[in-house]
Amino acid sequence: MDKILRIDMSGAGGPQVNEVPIGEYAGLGGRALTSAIVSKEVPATCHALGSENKLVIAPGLLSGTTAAMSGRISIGCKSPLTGGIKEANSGGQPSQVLARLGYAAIVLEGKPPTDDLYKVFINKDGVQISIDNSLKMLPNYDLIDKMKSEYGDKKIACISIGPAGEMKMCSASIACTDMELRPARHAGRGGVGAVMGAKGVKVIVLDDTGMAMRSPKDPEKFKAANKIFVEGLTSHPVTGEGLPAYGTNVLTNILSEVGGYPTYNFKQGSFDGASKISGETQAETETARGGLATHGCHRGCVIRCSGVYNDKDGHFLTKQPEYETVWAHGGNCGIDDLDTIAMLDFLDDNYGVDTIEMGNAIAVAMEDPRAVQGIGVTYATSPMGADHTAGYAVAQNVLKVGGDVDALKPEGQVEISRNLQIATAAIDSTGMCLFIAFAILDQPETFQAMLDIIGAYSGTEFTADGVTELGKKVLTMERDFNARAGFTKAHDRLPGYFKTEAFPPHNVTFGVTDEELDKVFDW
Amino acid sequence: METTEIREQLQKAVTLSLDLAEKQIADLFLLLQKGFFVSACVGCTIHDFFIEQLGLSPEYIQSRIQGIFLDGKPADDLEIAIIRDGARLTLSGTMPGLVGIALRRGPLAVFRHSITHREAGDYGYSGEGFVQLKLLNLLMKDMGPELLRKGIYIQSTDLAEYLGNLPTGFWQECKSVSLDGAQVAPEMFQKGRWIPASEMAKFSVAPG
Ligand code: SF4
Repeated sequence: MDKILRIDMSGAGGPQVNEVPIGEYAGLGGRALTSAIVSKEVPATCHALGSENKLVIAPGLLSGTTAAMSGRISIGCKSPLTGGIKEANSGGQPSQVLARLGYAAIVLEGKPPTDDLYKVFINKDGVQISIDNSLKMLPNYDLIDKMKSEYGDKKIACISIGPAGEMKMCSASIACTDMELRPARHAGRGGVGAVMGAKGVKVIVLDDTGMAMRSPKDPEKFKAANKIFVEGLTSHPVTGEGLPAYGTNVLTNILSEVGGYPTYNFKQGSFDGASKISGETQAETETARGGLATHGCHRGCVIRCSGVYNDKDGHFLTKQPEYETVWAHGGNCGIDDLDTIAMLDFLDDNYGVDTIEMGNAIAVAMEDPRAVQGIGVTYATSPMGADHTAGYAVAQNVLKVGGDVDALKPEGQVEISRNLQIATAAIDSTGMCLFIAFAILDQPETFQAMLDIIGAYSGTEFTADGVTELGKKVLTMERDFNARAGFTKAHDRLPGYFKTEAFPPHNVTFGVTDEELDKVFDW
Repeated sequence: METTEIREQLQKAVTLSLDLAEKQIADLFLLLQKGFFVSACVGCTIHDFFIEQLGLSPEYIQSRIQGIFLDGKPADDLEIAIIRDGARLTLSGTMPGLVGIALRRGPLAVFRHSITHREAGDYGYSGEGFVQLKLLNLLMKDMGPELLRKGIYIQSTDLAEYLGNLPTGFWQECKSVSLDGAQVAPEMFQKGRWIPASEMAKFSVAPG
């Protein structure tokens, strides 16, 4: 991964392909790389759908190696939805395949002078770009069927947009195909699909036939660390048992119980129909219909939190809907029927829209920040906008950043939110799935194994301080971009009603003050 | 529903018992996620309830029960939080997501301090009573078989709907069914045919 593929879409004679050395971005991957390129090269005040914005697609630092969990891809740009910098993260096969093709990133630049639609094909022999207007307005599943018939269905992986992306809708996602070549994994947040649509690119087809796995600098240490890492993941109750058995939707019952489940358009926090659409019921339904309750979104995932959801007749309907999809299309719309939610999930994937936006929801209320206030701090201050994944990973115990916090003081929430955002930014840069957080939080030896994998890969010693430095570097670049785009601390706030309107059943309001929020990035 | 109203209904509950194969118990686990009632000695701490009444070991509690919610609030200190008559106790074996980590006992408890269960310190009535339990995810299969053997009280309409949705094969395998002490045909529970005669049912299984 020592080169970057730049495709300038503006040329009058068609797109210009430029393969350049990674240069100043060496050592960066995933979110660190997308944010570095966007922060340095995109004018912060540009129009997100204009020629000056860039869409950066970067595999994680460890993608394409044999490291477990390392197949997450980062897609970054200036967001048409928030006006700030964005990194949207996805599973699926493209990260591994793109990394094995040797690219640290693909950067789509400029803006095509016509409304032609382009198809990009990349394999070991190089890059082919062609106009294919027959693809216009094709939904993702139909599009991928067409790509399979053109390029074969053995080794390819695709990155594509549906009609929503072509229409430059702010909720448009970018689809990544999974192991079965289904466009079911999405970089969903921030409207990244609209930026791909603005570049006139419908699909990028990747084929790594003839390419080898990427090898670490210290193979022995790498192998040994990977083994300990996998053992740590499989032995932990969340990553080894809970997530594989029930997926993320296991949260439906829990959140409804504590009154933090968005219900009836955020009117209340508990849903009577929760048990009908819970992860527990979903897993049972999948198994009974011949689908799968345990399935990985890419090769090399050992947690396998996903699944295959079949319809009543046993035919594939969609991948296992995630917690976010289930509340957005389920409880929040008053729907307690899993088949309806699964069909909506399929339609979202097919037309290429983010399921949360589509559920008529705003991410800021996802896990209601009045009930779980520390999450509110993260929503308010993350440079990614209100994004639940921005403070996902937890390294408080392991990183020992900031020491102990008083459980009853708001300062504690600010401190932990800061550490979460730092750790998340770092993990997003490695290509590792954030769900490893549970095992590395509880098991120091699993955290050490992750550090050793990164160290053995790069041939250096990588420590917890290194993780902190990387995370801070990424956040600093992102906040710098947002400042130039006109964001101030006035934007690091939750909507006023969170402070004034009590949220049932606990009737709590958001109590962290503005002054406290402003301390999140004091490091 | 008020505690006294529930107590009256529990006293009038119909009893339903299924004699079935051991492996069939798993088909009943999802029944446990919506909530059911058990007779209990109330006015004790969660810790004592777990050890003395549910028969759980301290190791099991520590390693398997990741989320404990008393009356809808995360409970952190099991030796202080008191189970009063009619309390609702929900137990989860897995807590994914940032929100999951915040809701379990641990360093992120600060994230949800405004909804944390705080004990008033008064044990209240101490003696025979009932507790509403909800078992989620991994704990259904861990704790479900024993509780189903002992018998649980559950809303009859929920039970009727659940049993009515079980596949025909389940009822064919079921060895016998007893309703208020009398043997009845398993078929009467299929597809919503059973109309319960009371609000609550005491439901148990006897795997043979
Ligand atoms: S744990 Fe889930 S989201 Fe993460 S890589 Fe595996 S299947 Fe994908």
